[in-house]
Amino acid sequence: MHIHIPDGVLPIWLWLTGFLVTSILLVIVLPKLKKEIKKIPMVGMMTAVALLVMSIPLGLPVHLNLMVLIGLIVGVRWSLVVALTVNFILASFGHGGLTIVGLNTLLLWLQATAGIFLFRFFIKFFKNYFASASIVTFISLFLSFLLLVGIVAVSQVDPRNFLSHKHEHQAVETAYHENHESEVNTEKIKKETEHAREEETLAHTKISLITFTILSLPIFLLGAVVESLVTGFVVQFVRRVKPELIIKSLKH
Amino acid sequence: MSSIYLVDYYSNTIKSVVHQITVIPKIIFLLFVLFSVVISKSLFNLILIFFVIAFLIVIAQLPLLKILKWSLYSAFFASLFAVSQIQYGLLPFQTMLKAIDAALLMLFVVCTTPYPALFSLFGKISTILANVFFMTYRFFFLIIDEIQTKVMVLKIRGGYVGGPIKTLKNIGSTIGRLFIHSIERSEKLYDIMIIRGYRGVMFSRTTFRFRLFDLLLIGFGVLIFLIAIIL
Amino acid sequence: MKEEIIKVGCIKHRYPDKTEVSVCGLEFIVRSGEKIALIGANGSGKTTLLLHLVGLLKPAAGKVEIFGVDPCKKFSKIGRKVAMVMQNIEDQLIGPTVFDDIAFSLVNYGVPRKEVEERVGEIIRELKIENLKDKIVHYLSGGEKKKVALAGALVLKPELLILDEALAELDPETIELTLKILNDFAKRYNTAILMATNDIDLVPRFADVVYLLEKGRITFKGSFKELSKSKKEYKICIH
Repeated sequence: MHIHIPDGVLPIWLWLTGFLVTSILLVIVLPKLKKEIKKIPMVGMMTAVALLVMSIPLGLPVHLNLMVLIGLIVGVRWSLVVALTVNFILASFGHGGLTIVGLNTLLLWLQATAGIFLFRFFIKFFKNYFASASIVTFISLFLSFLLLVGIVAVSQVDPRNFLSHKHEHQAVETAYHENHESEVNTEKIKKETEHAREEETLAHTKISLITFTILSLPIFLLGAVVESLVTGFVVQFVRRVKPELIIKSLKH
Repeated sequence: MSSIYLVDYYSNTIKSVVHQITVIPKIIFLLFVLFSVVISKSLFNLILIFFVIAFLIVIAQLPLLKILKWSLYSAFFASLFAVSQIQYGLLPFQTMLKAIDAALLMLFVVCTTPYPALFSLFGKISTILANVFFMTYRFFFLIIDEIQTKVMVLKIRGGYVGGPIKTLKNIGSTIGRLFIHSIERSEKLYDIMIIRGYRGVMFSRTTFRFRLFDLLLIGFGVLIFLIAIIL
Repeated sequence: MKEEIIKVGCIKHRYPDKTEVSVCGLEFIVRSGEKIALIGANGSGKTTLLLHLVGLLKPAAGKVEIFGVDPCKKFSKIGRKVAMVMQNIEDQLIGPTVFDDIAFSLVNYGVPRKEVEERVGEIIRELKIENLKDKIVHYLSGGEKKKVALAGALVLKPELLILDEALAELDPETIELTLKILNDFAKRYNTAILMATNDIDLVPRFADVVYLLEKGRITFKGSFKELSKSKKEYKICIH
């Protein structure tokens, strides 16, 4: 599961950075995937399954996305393509913003990648597929949640940025003029004004970040517990019925 | 996912004026309006955009209420941000409206443009991406009945009544079965594709043209963008 | 003497669940331009034989040769000469729209875009499916899907066309049209057509040579007239 960030909440530079990072990763990954066209139908099928699994009713206000499980099956590189495809299709009907597709892709890819590496590590110690898959899924989702909170923190969701820039500009300009009148050198003025601006912004970010985290945490926990258990049960089932699928994933 | 199914149905079966507009003008319109929503700092402007898109949805002969209902899904997540801005006057409303406007806009575009036309644009970026998008689309409709049947069987056979852990275990087994079957089917599909000569190329023929309505839609998008800048 | 394009010795196949299917008995040979009907009851081994021909199954014993090569090892070398319409049509249709699906093989074989347009246009006119051209595949009826799959195979102008129950579930009018197109196609392009079917009524309207498969054994090879005279085999076939 993941929390969808809608359009218009994050600053432009941040979501553009999301697209940039995703694009760079794609530029690195896609040429390597050209040698693996045999896997394309399976990746397409897994993406379709991911979209369909979201529609399975759980009796709870969350849905599954099973990125960790898909990561285990398709591997690190293809997970990036799955994450992008799922997010684009979800965004196309309003689940998560189109401008956020880049960042959301990174969030889902982190889930899959962390899941793959952690699973290889955990299975050596636990030897229990259900426990390993469940714990690994929970940790991966938690890492992804931390990244989400990090994104919101970095975004400096300062309400005044949304309402109007005038207030902040005025404060900065006043500081500038006051400093200018006292004839302090230009560099010092710049530093001080920047510092004043930073302090103001951070203060607001902190407030909204705490509220946001408090609100999101229960939804995350509920979704993460459900997804971890379901992933554990799926892995246990697959291990029993078609073990080579999981064994293959350990050799990726 | 039933909404994907319906979106696909609307985009392929309704024959409105808006449906006749080709994909490129729609994407240009989408970008202008989406950017207007993102940069907009005026509540009035966001309300205006909401009504403009709602109007276009009606023109496109789409069920407005249903699409509005879908767009509210984004409002749920937007509310997490909005509540954290509650002390800042109208800002929470702006956040909510931005999310709803953007979702409504996306839904308007996908409900009037068949997915193959949209996905064909990925072919300009990467053949691998285009392949995965097209196959996801085709396979989604190949297996949708299967998952619906599996969920129904699960319900009928009491899969949801044995307590939460038992329920999740049953869901896990159902999904596990779906995964295994899907992977086996994808392997079979690959074999068939090889017989049909597959060498990594998937494409969809898309019409690129700019007729009166195509240009009108772009003009409309530009107008909304200009209003957003002015307001 | 026409060129032999398919040669099958006695083959055995072992499925993952250890079930064994063999196709033995008379030698199975198809020559260029021939129209062959492969008939037999369900489970007689028709599909197993066809899947061996396109290299989808590897024989545990025996030999399969198409255009002089082992399809299991070197199908890519002969792929352009062979087209197939599967029994399960859903899995065969890959392209998002009808046009895209019919063009699939041509595009993958690198045929220029303009020629693709022309050849797809030509085949959809012949099969009278112009109205379906821009339709999304999953909105087609079963019969329409069969026609599209057939178009996707014919558009390649193959030297060997393999049809696995391709005419099943089609309405009589469409069957008539398809048979006409197939007969015409075989004549025009010297295409060998191998059709596996349960429907004995189709055979006299189509086949030059009939092979009868019974429980994994080829028990008859000859014309439909000869098959009709051989009452015992004919009865087995229609059951």
